[in-house]
Amino acid sequence: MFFNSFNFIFFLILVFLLYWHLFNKNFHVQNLFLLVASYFFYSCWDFRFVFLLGFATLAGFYGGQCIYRANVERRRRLWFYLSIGLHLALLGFFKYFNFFTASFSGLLQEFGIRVSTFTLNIILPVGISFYTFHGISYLADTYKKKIDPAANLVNYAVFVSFFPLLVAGPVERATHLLPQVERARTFEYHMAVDGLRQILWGVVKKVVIADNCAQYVNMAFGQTEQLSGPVLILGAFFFAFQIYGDFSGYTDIALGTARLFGFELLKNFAFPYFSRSVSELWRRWHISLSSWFRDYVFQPLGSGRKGLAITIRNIFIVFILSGLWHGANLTFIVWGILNGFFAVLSMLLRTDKGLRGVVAQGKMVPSGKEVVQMMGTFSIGSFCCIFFRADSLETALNYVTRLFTLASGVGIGEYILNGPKWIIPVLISFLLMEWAGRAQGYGIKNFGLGWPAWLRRSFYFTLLIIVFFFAGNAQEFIYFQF
Amino acid sequence: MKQFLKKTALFLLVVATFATITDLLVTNALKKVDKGDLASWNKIYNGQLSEDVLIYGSSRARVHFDPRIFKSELGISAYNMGMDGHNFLMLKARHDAILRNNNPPRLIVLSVDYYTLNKREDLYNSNQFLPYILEPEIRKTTREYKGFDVYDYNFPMVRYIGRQGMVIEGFRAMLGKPLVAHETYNGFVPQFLPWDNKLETLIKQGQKYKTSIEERYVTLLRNFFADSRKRGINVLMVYAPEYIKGQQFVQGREKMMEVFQRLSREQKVTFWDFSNDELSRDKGLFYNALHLNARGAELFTRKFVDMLRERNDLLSLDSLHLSKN
Repeated sequence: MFFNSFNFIFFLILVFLLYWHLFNKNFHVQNLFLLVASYFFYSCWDFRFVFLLGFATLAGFYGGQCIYRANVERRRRLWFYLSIGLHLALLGFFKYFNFFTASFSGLLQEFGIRVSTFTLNIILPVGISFYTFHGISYLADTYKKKIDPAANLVNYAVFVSFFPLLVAGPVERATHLLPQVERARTFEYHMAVDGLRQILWGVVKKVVIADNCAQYVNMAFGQTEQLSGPVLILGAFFFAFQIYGDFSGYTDIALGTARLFGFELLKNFAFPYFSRSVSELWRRWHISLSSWFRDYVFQPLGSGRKGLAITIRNIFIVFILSGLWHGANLTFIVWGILNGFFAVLSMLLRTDKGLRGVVAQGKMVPSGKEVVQMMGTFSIGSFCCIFFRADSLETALNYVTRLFTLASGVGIGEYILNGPKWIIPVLISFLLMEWAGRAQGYGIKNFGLGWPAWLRRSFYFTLLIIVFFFAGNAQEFIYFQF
Repeated sequence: MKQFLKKTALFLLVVATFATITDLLVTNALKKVDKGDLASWNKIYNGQLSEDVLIYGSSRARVHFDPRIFKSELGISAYNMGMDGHNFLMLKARHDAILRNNNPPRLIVLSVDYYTLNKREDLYNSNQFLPYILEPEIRKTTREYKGFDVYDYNFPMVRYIGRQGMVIEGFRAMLGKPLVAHETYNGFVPQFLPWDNKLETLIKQGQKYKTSIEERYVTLLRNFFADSRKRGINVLMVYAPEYIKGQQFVQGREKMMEVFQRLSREQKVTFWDFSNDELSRDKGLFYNALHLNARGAELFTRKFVDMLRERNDLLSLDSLHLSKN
């Protein structure tokens, strides 16, 4: 059940009405209802994985209880490592087993040792990377005594499996979401309206921006050999817009949906393509995952306090793990290394110095320097994205080689004409909207709030028409595979 | 909460009204387009088919049979109902629509090929069905493919989402300026294309095209023959020319031809097989292994019409003068 499907719209309407009208007397009942709805939502992907989700939930909940109840520090630590280990084992088995066995046998063969590769026909359960990370954050925060364990299993299960964030995040923290689950929610008109507005903007990003850019991206990565270098550069830019529209669009729908139920989820994007340095880009892109790695990997490793060499090592560890988190493929590892390299470079060159807050705050247009900084950062991000998108390392290297040698082939004109060419003015309009709203939570959060109601509604209506009219061929959300 | 629900419902009501009106306007305008893929459907559903001969089949029918030659050589009218990329399941739906909305033809020329009995999951060129998705034959048949979902059938404008071209086409038709690129001659689309070398690539790669037989379609075809006989419609089954060197790269071809021959014997339907004809040996008449170019189509139609001239029984046109020019 995709967020941009009619099935989801009807599911959402039904759950919303029942949640606020039938189950609104008691928040415990509301939680139980949310849990049932979330499990139903998850079962629409593949009902078998419901058991896996249930198992991960039980492991997290009882792990937290054991950590909390253990009197001796050694025992607390034991329970902590056991529970974390179980979560990582689940993730490792379903996501990385085949990758590591194949890589290991490949490595042995390099040394002349022949082994038969043992792989299993494992289907990757949708959202596993997200809900195992929810569990790990809960266990770590319980162990560090930042939170008390969940009051009951239902509350914890809602925290892990709340349907708006279940399959592609944001990666929530127990410290942030669990308290919201454990208290009564009241319906707030403005929050709900804001939720609907954010859902609408998310749909525009996904259906209009991402799905149409996808056509150009598929051409660029599917017919690399026939395309010229400049076209491949353009193809990489299109992918940058596709993945942004796709993932931040999904996130907007998730955040907006959660608001309809009285929940505030973690912000995941803050206009990353208006960043002036790679470090800033990473503070604005997939924020919930970046901060997760910062808090649970980078800081425990000593963050930046143990000297330059250790800091650089830690940055690379975080980015490589982040790459690996996205998928069991060398392309993601290289993507992580590249981002680590540019982040270290950004740190050493102090390109991030003084770059706090929003670019060109209080101004309509950025300065020349800011434009150059933003374009440079966007180009670096797009370049790294080539490895993120390519099916294999060979494909990515071939793409990059042709791109840098400015190989001859199909030119930009023909390339644009072979796709939804009107996406160019639509993309420019989209960027202008995002630019105008860059100090807000999402692009159109405050857009037209001072206008008369009829005009504001006409604007939303126009957005809906744009969705109807300019919708691209439906593509699966990219982050569902993670 | 009440205020929220009221305002949201009102907003959705405006959206639904807009969608309904736009759907009506676009759909009605598309039903008047007289070129391209829509032209044939429009002719069928507007009850405007009065041709003596109808030609059924896939793209091979569409680019091979020129109705103009039927008219000039035999003095009879013909309409080419070939549908690119579709098998007999969809041909049958179109046949049912024809019978429901028009007088039956005297003769149906059924051009058979690899597509006829081969199952296909996706709904190829689904745009052509948009204006008629609610017609019983189309609704029932398109549901068997991956193309439209339940919302497309039941909610206004939903089926047009992401199909800007068709909406624009509808608006242009409303203004009397339809966009459709290719010109058709009673459904026939001549192909002025050079040989595309795809066969050579296939041979080089050692690949084979696979065709399979869906038993349900065989039954459907058998029933179609029987029903046509009952209705007094003559049916002529034809295997149009196919480049001879390409034939050996089709896996399952012999089995498929056996099925057609068996059906022909069993149902007493004439079957003309041109796959070994001299036309099939001349590469210059094709633009790929399966399709004749415009020159090839002309030669083939003339040859076909000459053969048909000798078969007054098929045409049931004793009253007409079938004279050679």
